[in-house]
Amino acid sequence: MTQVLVADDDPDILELVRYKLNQAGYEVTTVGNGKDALEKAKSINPGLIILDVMMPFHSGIDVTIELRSDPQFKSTPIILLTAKSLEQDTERGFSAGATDYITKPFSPRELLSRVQAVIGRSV
Amino acid sequence: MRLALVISSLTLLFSICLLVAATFVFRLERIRTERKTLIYQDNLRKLLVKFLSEDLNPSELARLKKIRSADLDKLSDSLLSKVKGRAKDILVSFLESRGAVDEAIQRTRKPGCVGRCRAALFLGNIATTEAQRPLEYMLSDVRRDVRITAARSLGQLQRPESIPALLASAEDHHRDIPFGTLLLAVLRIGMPGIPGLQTGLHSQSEKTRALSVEALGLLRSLENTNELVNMLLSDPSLDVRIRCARALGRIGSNGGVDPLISTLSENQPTVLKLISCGSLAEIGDTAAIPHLMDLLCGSDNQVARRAAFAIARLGTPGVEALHTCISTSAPGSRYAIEVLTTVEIKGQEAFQRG
Repeated sequence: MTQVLVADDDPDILELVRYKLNQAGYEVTTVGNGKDALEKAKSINPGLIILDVMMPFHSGIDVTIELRSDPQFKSTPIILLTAKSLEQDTERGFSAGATDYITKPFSPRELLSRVQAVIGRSV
Repeated sequence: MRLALVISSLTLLFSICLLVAATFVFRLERIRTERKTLIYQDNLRKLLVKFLSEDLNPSELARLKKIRSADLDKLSDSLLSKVKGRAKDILVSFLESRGAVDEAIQRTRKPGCVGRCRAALFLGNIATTEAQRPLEYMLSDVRRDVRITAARSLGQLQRPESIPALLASAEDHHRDIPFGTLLLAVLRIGMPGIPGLQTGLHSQSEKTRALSVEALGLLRSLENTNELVNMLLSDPSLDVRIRCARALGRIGSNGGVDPLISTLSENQPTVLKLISCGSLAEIGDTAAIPHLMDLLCGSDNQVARRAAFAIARLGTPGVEALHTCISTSAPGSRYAIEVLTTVEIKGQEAFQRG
């Protein structure tokens, strides 16, 4: 079972993502900020990480950069899930090392398809 | 005397202890209530998310539909702006069945601007047809915050029928809404709003014309090139003419080249010339090069510099013209040197993209 780490400071989003991915058979761990995301990622070594961009302590972009600098997470897929939808935001996300970029509001079904596609590619 | 002092000290000490104990119990109770509320909200959230995924069994569904709590309404309202697709459709019909739309419409006329703002926000998120009229009415609310929220929500509704109301609110000097807010609302409506914006071009109000021109330019409305050209040449407002020049550049039609060139003449305002230079560069027609070269050699330094940058964006013929300018030490050659150095650093392609 693939383990997925989800980091977002919004409990509604956390629950939406957690439920949808759980239903699809993923094991989901949720955290509410960037600092916890970094710690949790290092301790559980997830198969996929979903990060919000605007979070307390560390932004999703910072977390992505930090994770990518660690050889352990060089090839771990990272999806950024954010309300920032401008072209330059997407560009920043991808240049930080994100595998995919999903903007809020999002469709839970679409999120699941993207997760499956990203995990499929990384296997 | 001494006894009385001891008694009063003890009474004071007892009162303090009592107060501390009462505060402690009160805080404990508050923490307990908060925790209980959080657990309750968490359970509601789980139920609602399960409902959005269409996974509720009939008994859970019946339970959810029976819940008449403000917490559930608040939670549904908050989820509304976070989901789209099928999940949003389910949430919208759930809220409609609970009478949330009618309730929000009623709240749009109640005293208390926070409540009116929330109602406007909700109506924008739920984006039902019934929300249009109340939101249009709110564009002339006494409170600016409410007017701004209503304009944003009308944009979210994406109904072209709202364009006249949005344009009309640009005219209202007493109950103003920021230009940018109105522009964003109109842009969210998109291409279906173009006929409404065309009407706005003929408005008596300068602000309405400016808003229509700006939006048509950003929507790249090619079919309105002629109308914008006429306004560039003859509108009484300089602001509108400037916006027309910019819009023609964004649209990128060759039909805009000659009129834009005509605005480069000596008697035209500097600011218009500056914008026209940029627009000519965006259109990319090399016919503009000789006219821009005239500006480069002119006496207005600001315009000359802008002209140099515009020429360089016109590709190889533009760069060649700048080299000629430098080799002949013509006036303006310092700007030609500056811009060619920039091109060299950035690379021609990146420079042309602006």
